[in-house]
Amino acid sequence: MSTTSRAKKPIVAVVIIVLVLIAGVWYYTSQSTPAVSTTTASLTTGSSSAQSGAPSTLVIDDPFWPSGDLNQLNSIYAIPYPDWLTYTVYQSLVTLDGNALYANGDVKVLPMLATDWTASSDGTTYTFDLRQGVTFSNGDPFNAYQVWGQMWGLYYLSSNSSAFLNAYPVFDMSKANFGPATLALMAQSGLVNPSPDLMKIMTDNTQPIYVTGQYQIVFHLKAPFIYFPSTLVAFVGLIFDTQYVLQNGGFGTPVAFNTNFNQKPIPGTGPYVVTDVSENSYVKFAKNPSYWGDSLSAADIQANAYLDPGHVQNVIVYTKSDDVARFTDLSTGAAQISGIESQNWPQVLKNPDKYGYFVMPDASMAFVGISMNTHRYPTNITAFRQAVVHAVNLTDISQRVFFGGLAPMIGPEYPAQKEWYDLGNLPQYSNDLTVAKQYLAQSGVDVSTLPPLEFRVVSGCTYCYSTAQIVQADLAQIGITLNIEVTPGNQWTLPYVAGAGTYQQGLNASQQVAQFTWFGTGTFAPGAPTPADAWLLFASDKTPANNYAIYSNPTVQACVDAWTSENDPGVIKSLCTAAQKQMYDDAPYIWLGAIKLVFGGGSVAWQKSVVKSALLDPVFTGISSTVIFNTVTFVGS
Amino acid sequence: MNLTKYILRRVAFGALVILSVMTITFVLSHSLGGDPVYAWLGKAAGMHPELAQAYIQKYHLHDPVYVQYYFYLVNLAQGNLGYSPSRNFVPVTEVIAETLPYTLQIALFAIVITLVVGITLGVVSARYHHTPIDATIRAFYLTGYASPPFFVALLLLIVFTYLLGILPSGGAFDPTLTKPTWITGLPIIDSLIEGNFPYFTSALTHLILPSCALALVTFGIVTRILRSSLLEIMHTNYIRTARAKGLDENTVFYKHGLRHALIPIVSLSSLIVTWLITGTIFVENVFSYPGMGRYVVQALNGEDYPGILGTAIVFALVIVTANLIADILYAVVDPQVRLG
Repeated sequence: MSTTSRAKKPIVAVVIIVLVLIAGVWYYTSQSTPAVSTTTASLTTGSSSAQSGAPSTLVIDDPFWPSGDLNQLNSIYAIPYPDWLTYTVYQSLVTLDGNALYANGDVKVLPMLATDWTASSDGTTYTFDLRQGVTFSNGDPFNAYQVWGQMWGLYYLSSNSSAFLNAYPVFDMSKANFGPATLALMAQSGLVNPSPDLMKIMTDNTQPIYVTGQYQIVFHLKAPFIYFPSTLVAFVGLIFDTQYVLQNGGFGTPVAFNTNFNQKPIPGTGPYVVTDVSENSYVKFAKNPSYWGDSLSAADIQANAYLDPGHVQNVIVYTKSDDVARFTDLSTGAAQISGIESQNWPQVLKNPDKYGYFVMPDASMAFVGISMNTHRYPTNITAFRQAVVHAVNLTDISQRVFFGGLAPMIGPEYPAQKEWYDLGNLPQYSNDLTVAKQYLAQSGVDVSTLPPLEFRVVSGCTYCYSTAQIVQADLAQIGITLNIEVTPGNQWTLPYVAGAGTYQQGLNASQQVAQFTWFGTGTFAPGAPTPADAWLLFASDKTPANNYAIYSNPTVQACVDAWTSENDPGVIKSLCTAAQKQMYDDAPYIWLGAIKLVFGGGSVAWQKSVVKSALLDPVFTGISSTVIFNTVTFVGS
Repeated sequence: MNLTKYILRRVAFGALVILSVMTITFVLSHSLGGDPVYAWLGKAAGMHPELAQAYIQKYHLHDPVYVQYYFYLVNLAQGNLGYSPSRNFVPVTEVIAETLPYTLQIALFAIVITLVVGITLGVVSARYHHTPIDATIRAFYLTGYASPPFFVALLLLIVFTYLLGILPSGGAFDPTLTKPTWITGLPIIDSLIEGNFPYFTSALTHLILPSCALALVTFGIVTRILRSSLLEIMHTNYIRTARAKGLDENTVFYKHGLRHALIPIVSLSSLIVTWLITGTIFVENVFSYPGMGRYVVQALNGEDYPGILGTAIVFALVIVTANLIADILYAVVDPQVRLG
């Protein structure tokens, strides 16, 4: 046999093998991509013919491991994220009506660990009556002393920041006197039956947070804030067993939090407890046998779904970073609920009989957007920004990137805040190249000599990059050239990205910050479900973070300031109507739209034959990327 | 030179390599750009500037690189690899202690599969050289060798989990099972020792795909080297003598030829360990296996300098040790090596 013909055989074999592999991969991935069904409700009815009843263990796959682990002391940093312990292990004083929230985007505050609350006539003092007879899962009693201890402990860990409560600077901490000495006294005394010395400190009504009894706690604000209760719904508002913290090493220090609770979480009052943790792999939960809500009636739970004791004994939440692995688990039944991202989303859409998935209401608080640097040429020119917002085709982006899953939005207010959304009834910016060119001419910018502008998107966000490419093509039609800079996550910070720091820090770095920046690292959801949230974050010169456009305007700032100083909603509305118009005219942001799918290009999906319904967190995935699993109901049960 | 001197020289060289890896990794990781305090604290750095400042001072984040390196070496001398921001400031040593056993499990199994498959196919390929069997084997190993490990991992996941449904998609074991007590530090071995067979079976099934993904891209070089080595040896004089003595071909091949042909595999084994260890970074992320490879990616994404350095040191240590063992074994087998 000749050498040439001998060499041919392995080559031919390799080619055949590669062709077979390509054919297999093509078969697996080649599907038409139906759009998101706008009629798919967030609470999907499962098929009646399949297996019935809850599984013995509910398995959920999530793309992310909690940043901050399971340590609830990190809540002042708005982590852990995702916090799978939200409402499953930890509960807050108040919550939202989850059914109303995800059916219609209605924001209704409901009691949770508080039974009721009152506000003083001047709107600065809120008194909460706490639920009695509630214990943490380890038997420690829940009471006002525990809540007091938690709030002050977290204030201490934040390095005594007056904005420790989810970045809302509502307290006057100038006379606050809490530090290591008080913590030591707390540890010595305990919070179950506090010593007289500790009681004296806890009942001191000159302080912003104090107790008036075992089951009553008072928050005194520096100025009226009518939406204060909503700030307690998540993050810092999730109540943990402070007594347990004190007995297990304490809070730590501002630069060295107690890490004992990373994988051994602090007990909570919720319907589940953590039974096992494998770092970066899974968390196991089991029902809390002493959950106070076990005695709630079906009507109680229907009225307040987040109080549900849960319908399955055991839950395992896995972190699986690979989308193929998560989809595989969902399709084989290894997981009943799984977060599926854009890579495999078409597989979910083409099997509507097999998979249900979460669709946000049009009125939600999760959105995607692009910021324009209002301090760097040429995006510092208002007319230029107006040209941009009229050139970008939002419908195209929605169809091609988000499977049709973007609901139109006029920011900054979240659509779910219906009373406050789009004050002035302003229309969407028209996608009109003629109008865009007119604005461009008005701006005085000569695009023929303009160097390419920077557009930063974070690495790993596929839909961010896909959107950027469409925006790039749209702006090219009016002569603007964009360079898309895919930025590693560890550089998604100052001086490259303004939203990572305060407004002033962003301003200082404004000439380095890109002209265009993706808003956040993917989708954006609030830290607290208040109508003030968006204004405080995106439009304020006092914001601690998220003012990606480095935007400030006196008319807008008047609205921002009114939220935490004005008791009359009518006055706030008047100021914010003017502010809304101002921001509309200034156009510092391109509001791409409110997302319908949890991950933008994908969502939380479930096996329709097993799962009937579920709710997400009360801040539209601001605190968790998967379902609140005590709200999961099952087909046939 | 005698064996002791040879070993000491190799150890000294290994220490130098580790120091170089550490220095280069330190400099490169500090050149990633961005302010690490924002990567570590996220929005908290903006929300609480005084907290950011405290972290900057405590970890010397804004000091020159050589100053930071000095403090790192001082801590290292005390056995302190620092605290891992991407793991919520848990000591790096703790994270490594937690993750390294899982990576070693994958690597060890992958080594076994690589050697068993590689040697078997190398022998068969050489025995039936220039036949369709030889051609098929060569095509097979070339395809594996040319494929990136993450690609092979995804393919295996699609075939064995998605299509056939016979192996799990990820993780290290079924969390509903009782974990074994710590004996050797390798959970799969510990479960076998204490007779925890459900856990052992679960851990084994979870190991198969990641280990095979690594082995499939590595065995090819073993097969190729062994095939070439065997074919060369089978034409030497002593083999001709063995045949002339009237020994049957199988005895000549396996007893006389194979034994010597395996010697290059010994020195190759250190390279295999290197490829397998570095390949775990891809494979562990595809299969969500909680080993050091996953931690490395997490540390890189979080600009976690202590984590990046700690894992680099451990990887370098493992690879240098493997090379050292290979060199020693080779020197034992072939004394001529020591004379160089």
